[in-house]
Amino acid sequence: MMNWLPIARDFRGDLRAALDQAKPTDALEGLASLAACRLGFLETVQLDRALARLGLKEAPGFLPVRLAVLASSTSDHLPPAIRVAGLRRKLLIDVHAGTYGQYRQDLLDPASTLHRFQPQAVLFSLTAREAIAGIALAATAAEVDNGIARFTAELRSLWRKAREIGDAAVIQQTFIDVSEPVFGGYDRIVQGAPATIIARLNDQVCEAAARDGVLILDVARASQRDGIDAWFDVGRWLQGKLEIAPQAAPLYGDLAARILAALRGLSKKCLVLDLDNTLWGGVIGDDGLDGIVLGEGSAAGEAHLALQHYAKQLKNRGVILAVCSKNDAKIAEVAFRDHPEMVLRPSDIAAFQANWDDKAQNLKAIASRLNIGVDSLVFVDDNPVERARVRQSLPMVAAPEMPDDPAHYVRSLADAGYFEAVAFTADDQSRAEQYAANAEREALLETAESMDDFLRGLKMTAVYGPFTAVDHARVVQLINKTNQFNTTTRRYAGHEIARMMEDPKAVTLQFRLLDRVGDNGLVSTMILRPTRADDEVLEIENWVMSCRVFGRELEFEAMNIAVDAARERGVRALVADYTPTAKNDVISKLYPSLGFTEVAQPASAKGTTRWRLHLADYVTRDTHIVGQEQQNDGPRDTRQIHPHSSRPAARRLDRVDDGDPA
Amino acid sequence: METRREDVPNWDSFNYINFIVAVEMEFGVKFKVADIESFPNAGAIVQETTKMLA
Repeated sequence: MMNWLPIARDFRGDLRAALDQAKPTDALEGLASLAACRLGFLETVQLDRALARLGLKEAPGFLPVRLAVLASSTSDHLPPAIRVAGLRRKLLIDVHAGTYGQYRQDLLDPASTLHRFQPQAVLFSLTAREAIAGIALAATAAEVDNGIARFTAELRSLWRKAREIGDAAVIQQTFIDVSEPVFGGYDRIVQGAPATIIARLNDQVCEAAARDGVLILDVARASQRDGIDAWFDVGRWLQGKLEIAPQAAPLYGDLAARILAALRGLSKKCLVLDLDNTLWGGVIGDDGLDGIVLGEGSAAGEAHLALQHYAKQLKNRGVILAVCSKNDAKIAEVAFRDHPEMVLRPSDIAAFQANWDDKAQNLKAIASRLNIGVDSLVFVDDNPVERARVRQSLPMVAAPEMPDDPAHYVRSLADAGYFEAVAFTADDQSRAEQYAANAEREALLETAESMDDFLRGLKMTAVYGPFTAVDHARVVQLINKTNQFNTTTRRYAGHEIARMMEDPKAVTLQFRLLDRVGDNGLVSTMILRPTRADDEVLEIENWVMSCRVFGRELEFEAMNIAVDAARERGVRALVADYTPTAKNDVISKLYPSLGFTEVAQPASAKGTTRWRLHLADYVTRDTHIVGQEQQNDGPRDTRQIHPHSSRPAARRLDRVDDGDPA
Repeated sequence: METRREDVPNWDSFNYINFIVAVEMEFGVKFKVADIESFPNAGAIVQETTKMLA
């Protein structure tokens, strides 16, 4: 288990060294780097005790999260593992563990400690036992379905209750099948056999979760992968009603922390691949194009091919692919172009760094080329020396351990769960094409005589309007994944956005940028609401923009559009906060550049500054972008482009989602 | 060796499970459920572990 993490060389020594640090925040950094190692249950508990001793509720560079775990079996051993897995991802997770079996009362009683805790996420960790109790072995299919439907209906009402506590995200754990066969293989034929019921239970609960926007912690899948004995120890069950065996707790914690990280936009975004002995067997510089081991007909060749297939699947779900290899660039590129067995082709790779420089330098170059943080990279390399060097100089890059045998590369990468998702949108499916199109745009920029010339040549159109039901998942994803152009780094759950779309007072704006090279997709969102003090002042609660479209003047056109929308509502002024983070320095001058002036206010702990724009003073900015209101009632019609000087359709902004098919 | 659960401050079932897990992992043994719930003191655990290792 957790084989992708490097082994701690001296756990006790490192733990002591971390605790000997004079400053608690330095000690925390030490514990976080120790948490990035492979730890057993006992080491995890020790690390957690050390963490408790620091007593830090927040620390620079760490994101605090409040998680409530509602369990129907003993779960005292899970919070330490969740906290340690959080440290691994720079999350400081405050875990509230309810008394086991008490979760219904805790949810229903507004005076309970659970309510007072105000969780940001609630995890339901239930056993199949109570879910299937009462379904007889001789039950018919209909009786089984009814029993499960009853349970699921109650569960959904509990999810709603959990969500009502301060808009918490809800996570449901799948049900582990710890039953033994009653009939043998014939269990699968008998509707009322425990294994059959539990399989159906998981299906139905996951379907309900999809409908309700609930996320899944899939321990059922994990226990199939590792074997039920790795996850369930009947002795511990009898001894203390632990359904998750202590030795599985560290992995359980990691599975939970992945979801919390994904909710905070901290999942990795880019897979960086080494070439020689990683993507293929052998060294292409020495062995030549014909000499490398790749493809059908050789077991080792198929193992490397399997990694390529897996990378391609990740690409198809929106993960960016890059190459970082010590190689001659020309020779390496030939393989992608000309080797008949290659699955990955030049168009699959968004950034290609093949040279003889230090890999850490190259990883930084890849991140800056793609305009993403170095901490969103995963680096896969067969060479332990390269991995160690990268971990040393760039500890924020995930460099999973790779087994000696390439046959297990895919498993190691997949087990690590770096790319945990909380959505899958149309935008994800076309992301690779969008990065390829960006390369084309860069070529245009190189031939253009000036920036002005380049922007004019792109013939850009911004299609805008309120959030729509069809774009809901993408809007949520964009807001929660964007770290650079993000004014307040406020995160919103799916149902919060849905409610906002129905709130007549809120103004939501989404922007899709098209140009002559292609569709950049839905790349910016803005949320405005009247301030509490004054209905005629709208506050920009959050504004995000994808780094893919930086430098295209979209922020100026978006503000033109927002100002129009505000004027339509008789608003006098806009106000906005800018809250600096480690990542959003790129927009530190955004509001002054748009004509806002700073509002004097007491200094905030987070360094937030407040900005104000009187609409009477606003001068519409000329941009190279044509604004076009989105059509919600049919296919987009590109002929109806409004020149932005007369943008008549802005009044429709206050209508929500008219006639949208979803 | 004579130490009993009630002799250790803040000792609870979670600590006890951790302790049992630690002994099992350290010595590569597995206690019977009945033994776990009836060990009278630390000495009994040592004795049982020694027996299993013999």
